[in-house]
Amino acid sequence: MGITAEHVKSVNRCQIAEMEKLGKALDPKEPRSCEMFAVQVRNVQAAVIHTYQITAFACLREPDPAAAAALWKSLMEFCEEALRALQGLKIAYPFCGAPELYDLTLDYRSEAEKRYHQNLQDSECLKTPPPAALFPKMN
Amino acid sequence: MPQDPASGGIISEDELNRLVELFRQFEGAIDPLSVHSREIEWEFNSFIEQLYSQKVGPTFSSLTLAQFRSHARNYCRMRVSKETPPFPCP
Repeated sequence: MGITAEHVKSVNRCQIAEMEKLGKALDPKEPRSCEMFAVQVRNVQAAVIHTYQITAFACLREPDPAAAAALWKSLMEFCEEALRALQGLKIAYPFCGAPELYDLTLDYRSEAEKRYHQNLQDSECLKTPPPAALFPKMN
Repeated sequence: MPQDPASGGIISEDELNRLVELFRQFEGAIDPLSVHSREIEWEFNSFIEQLYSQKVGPTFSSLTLAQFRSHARNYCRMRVSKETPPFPCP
């Protein structure tokens, strides 16, 4: 069995759930808590960055811009899920990497959104073929 | 890519090759927040604007800059999607 987008989504969801669970279970005032929580923050950060990279790789090689737009939309949804979880956690754990991850995720979400809209526009353009003499014929 | 001279468009093969390379680098960038990625994206868009103002707009007056950008991106995408492994790094 190969790795599918559903596998990646599931692992990502679990990373966020684990961070939320740990955030609730730990006492932010305990010195060891920050250290433990920061490990899970790092895992979610790795998921955000790596999922972006996989999405960019797949979208670049996707001949249909509408399908590429759907992949970018899926990344936006993952970023939004992480942002929702981090909203409270960055206040509870202000010195354990959560605020930095929140800002990074916002930036990645914004990049994904930009690409989503551009790919949608590209797919709209496919409905009208370019003028015949615009590009050389592709072999 | 092999090219029959009779099948040429107003955008040359060299110009397309440059667009494809820039497209590959910023659309597939592994770090979209890097200065390099932003510079390449800026270069792609500037080149599109240059081609539009010098060649495309004067020849195809009904085609907008945004439409030309999308057509060019779709052309780049078709080329990149035909590549087979091992894929080059963006």
